[in-house]
Amino acid sequence: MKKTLLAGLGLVLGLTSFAAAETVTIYSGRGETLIAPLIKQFEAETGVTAEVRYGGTSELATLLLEEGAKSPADVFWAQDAGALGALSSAFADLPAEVNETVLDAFRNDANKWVATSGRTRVLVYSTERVKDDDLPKNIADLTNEKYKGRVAWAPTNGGFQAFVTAFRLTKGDETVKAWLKAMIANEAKVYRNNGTQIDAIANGEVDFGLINNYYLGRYTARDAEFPVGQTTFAAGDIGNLVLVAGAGIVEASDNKENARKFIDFLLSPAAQQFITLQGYEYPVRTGIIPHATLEPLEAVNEISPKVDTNTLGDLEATLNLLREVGLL
Amino acid sequence: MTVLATFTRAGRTPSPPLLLVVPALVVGIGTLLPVFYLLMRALDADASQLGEIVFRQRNLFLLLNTLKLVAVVLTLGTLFALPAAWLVTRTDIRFKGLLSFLMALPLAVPGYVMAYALLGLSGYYGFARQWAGISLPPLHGLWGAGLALSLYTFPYLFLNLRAAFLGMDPALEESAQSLGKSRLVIFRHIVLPQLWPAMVASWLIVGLYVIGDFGAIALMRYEVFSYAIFTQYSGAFDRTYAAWLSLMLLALTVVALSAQRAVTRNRRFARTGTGSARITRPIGLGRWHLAAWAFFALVVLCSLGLPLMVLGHWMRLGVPEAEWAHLGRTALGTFLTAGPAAVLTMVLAVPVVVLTLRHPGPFASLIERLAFVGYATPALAFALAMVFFALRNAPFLYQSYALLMFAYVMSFVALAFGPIRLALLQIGTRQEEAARALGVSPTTAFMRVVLPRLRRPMVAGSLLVFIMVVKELPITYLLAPMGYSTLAMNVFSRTNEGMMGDAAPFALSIILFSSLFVGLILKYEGSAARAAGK
Amino acid sequence: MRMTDNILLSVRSLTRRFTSSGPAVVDDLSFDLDAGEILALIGPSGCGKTTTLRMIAGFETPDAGRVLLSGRDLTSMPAEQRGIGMVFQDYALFPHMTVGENIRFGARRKGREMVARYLGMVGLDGFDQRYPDQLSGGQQQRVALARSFAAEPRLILLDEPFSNLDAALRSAARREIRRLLKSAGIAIVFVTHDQEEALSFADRIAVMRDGRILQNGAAHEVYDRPADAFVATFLGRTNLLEGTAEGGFVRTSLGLLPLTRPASGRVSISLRPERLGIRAVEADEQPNGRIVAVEFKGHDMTYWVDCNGVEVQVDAMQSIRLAEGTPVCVAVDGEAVPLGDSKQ
Repeated sequence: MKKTLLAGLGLVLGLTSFAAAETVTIYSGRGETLIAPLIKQFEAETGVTAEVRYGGTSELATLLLEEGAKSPADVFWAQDAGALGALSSAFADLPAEVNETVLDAFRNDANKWVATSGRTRVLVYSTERVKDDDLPKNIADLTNEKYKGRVAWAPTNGGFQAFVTAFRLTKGDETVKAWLKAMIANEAKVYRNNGTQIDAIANGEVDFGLINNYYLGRYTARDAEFPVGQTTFAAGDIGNLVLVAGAGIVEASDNKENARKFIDFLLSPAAQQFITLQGYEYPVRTGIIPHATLEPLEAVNEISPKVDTNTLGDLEATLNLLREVGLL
Repeated sequence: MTVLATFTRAGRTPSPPLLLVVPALVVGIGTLLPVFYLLMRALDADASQLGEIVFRQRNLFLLLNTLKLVAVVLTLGTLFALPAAWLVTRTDIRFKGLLSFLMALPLAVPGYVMAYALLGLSGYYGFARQWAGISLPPLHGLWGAGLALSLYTFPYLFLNLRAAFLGMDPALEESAQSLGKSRLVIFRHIVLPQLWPAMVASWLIVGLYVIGDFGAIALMRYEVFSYAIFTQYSGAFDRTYAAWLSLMLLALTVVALSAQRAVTRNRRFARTGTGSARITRPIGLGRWHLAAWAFFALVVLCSLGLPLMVLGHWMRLGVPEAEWAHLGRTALGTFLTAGPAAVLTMVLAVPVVVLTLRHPGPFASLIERLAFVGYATPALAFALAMVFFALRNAPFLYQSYALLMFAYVMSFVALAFGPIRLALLQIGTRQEEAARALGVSPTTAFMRVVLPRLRRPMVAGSLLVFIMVVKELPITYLLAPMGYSTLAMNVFSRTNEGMMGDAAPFALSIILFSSLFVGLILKYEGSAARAAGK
Repeated sequence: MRMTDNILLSVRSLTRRFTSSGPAVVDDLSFDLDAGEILALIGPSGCGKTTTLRMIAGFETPDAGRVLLSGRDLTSMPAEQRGIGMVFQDYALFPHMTVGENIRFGARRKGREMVARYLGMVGLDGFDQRYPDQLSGGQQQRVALARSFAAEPRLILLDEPFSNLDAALRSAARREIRRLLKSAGIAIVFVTHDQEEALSFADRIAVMRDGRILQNGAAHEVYDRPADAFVATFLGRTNLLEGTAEGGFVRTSLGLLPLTRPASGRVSISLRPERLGIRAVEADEQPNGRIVAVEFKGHDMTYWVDCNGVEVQVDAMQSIRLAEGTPVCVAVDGEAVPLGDSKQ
């Protein structure tokens, strides 16, 4: 009898302590290797236990859509604006003050999500086979005979698709379609993602690649001799587009308070500094020491086209266009 | 009267026992769930979009590419597997055990690691450039993807062909020889027709795998049908048109299943004689020894040497940080899920195979086909179906180990059919009938007379499933309980971020641990054929 | 159908088709078996004899008809509840069990002495620890029998029991096993396509063709008085002759012969070669035939004799030796059997 009572008490206590434990469930499209230390720091700072499901941004986005109102997720942290846009309906509204902490250029006007870092589209090239005067001035140059069969791209990649979306919104569908067709005619080679394009340049398969800015640093940090360089196009060219990674609170969450704690943490100076230095990305707030190997954000903002990041979630027309020209 | 003729007749009992029907229903329902899910999603489609996304010329082109790839993989795989299986079962080549082990081991290599290995041969960091100073042309496209896939799927063909060789009555070959036929003629007219069912069955398994694979193929920059499905899910976050495309893939699967039945109709594995399988006098290779060894050396170098070299290379490039504790935990966690999943698969596979052999009919063949459909369902769609049904009907199961294992079992159960089927055909029904004539119920007869002799093929089959589960990715990604990660997930996420050095220890442990189990498969699978001989 | 109180097994109108539209493999088959009796089902391969055996055992479900054991209807009873033993052509010993374990498997009584007793019965004392693959074919067969005996059935079915034994072993095994079965009082239905085996092993023979029983009777009766040409030729060699019958006699190319039963008009008759006598013609005797071929078979000889354009076989003992071409007299020693129409 006594034993049963004690066991019952233990059970109740156990349950209580379980219920009292502060947790937050995060679906992270960002890789574990980069993010894990940040999660640890969050747990240490807030006492909230973070349960993280890592996966590809797109797989997790699909999973969230499938889970719908029954999703166990509190926060979705995505690699690209396309996924964030596609999930707008699944996100809870963020208080306006959240977006007020980030720089103007990165703000989400709808307050559905908040940018957690910035990155830019860049051109990578072979330092062995490309002379400085051979570098293209803008993306239109890449359709020249001179670049025939030498350029890599990744049509399934979220960053590339965001670039096409921005391109469409600034120049119109017809121009983009013409450019895509010209690139195909110029034998641009399809790769799976950003990293494989860098490999392909090093391997001598191609000489140029259209990727995000933060990949090459991981190679050059380990091997100073790595034969791939990174550059931008002429000021204002769409090829210099600024993109964001961001996070939102899932509408289905019954734990929005802790979700908010995590978002706030991501925007905190410490986290921003970590992402900047470890991830080779741009911080979304002021007062962060920039990465030494990256061009300062001010310079980037100067040469990048003026495109509202809020509009980059409009994927549908982009996908239709890519399908029409046979890239998807 | 042949063993087989009795086999089909023996089953003419009015209705199969519940002990067979219930597991079969579980398999049937479990594998039908994804089909239901896909049909349901497909109904949301908009007719005009359908034309643009699903019924367009590009998909036909992709489908054609898929078929080309299947043809290349099966051809290359057979070119590796058939001579190897023949050499280790029929000739006087030495170290047969070791050679069989080496031929089966590439099964443990994850597909994208194999792709990286082939790419690594030629690349900037490639061995060719680093060690020999030559730049090889990169291996891309159809042949690159075909080679990569065949290099880690051929062991499956090898294991099946080896078992078929071992189970074949050598007297047939000898009598053909006594009729004055040359070795080549005997091989073409006696051996090959007998191998045919085993060959076609393993072609089906490998072919369906190729149709569904995405990782290795994408790295090889070859566009196939699964690419269209992946693009739809991941590019467009769309589940409706992806469902249409997945259903098209399943239709292809059903066609393949029917084709398999058509080409193997009236042909069976088993020896029909009543004598025991004698050990034939091995064929002396003579001066062909050198050629045989060169063949094995080449296959081992490509299928094992390259991946191991690329992993060693990655480890040298970036010294991995001390993640040993994490590695150990992950390995243990992986095996603790894969192990029970493999055992459970076998528990369900045995009744289904018994049902198809002993109670043939529309129900049995439906269940068997559904199991293959489950195996062929694109993994992402399979996982989403589990998410859908679990959240609606059993939310407490969502993201639990139970659901994860259920998904593994349902998608791999077809893999376990082969070894059990072969063993059951070789055992025949006579002994069970003899037991029943001695007054024992059919269930007891099966348990006491047949099951003890199925132990080996069951172990072999579950180890096969085990290895597949260890390498599995999409289902694990979507259904794993919070905080659970497998070795394969760690390899994939690290390679995906270009952190090859960090990925290498995880990939290496997959190969090393799996190699233990491959060794066990051979130990059990090889003697199964002999045990069933009498 | 016989009316005995002693009937053990009754098979009534068994019918089985493998395809719904195809021909019946077993077609309206009926017979009875007394306790302790040995019945041979004999016929060419494909005549339905094994299927019949499997329906009696319960491994095959009949489309129509009944199987009764001591008057109890077994037709829908599972095999294991019928109390009918079966020994398969390939013996179906359990290869992963020892001889002792095989025998214990279905035994009514357990225990060591039991195994020893049954092994002793089949002459395999001390074999209980062996595995089946360590035994010769004959030994395996005897283990299979011992295993069946141990379950103490009243009826055992044997499927081609001697076909896996070599010729030298066969006749000895037959005598040995017949003695065993008779002393145990177990009834047997066995299937064979070997007439010698059927005649020497069985008390009664049922000759089957196309799923039907053509003739069912005591072994000597079926041999001596075959019902039709098929039975006559299937059970040993015979001379089939045409003739015109009138009452108890028939006129043939061999002359006027007595009949086993009266008939009239055109009839076919069967005359076993051993029922014919042969001798060289004596002086100024008219021969009724000429030897066209001689087969020397050791203790006896077979002559092929042309009798007025009809060739007949004559079996004769060694004592007479006649050469090819010799004019001879062929005489009939016994009665000719008038045959019914063979069913096609």
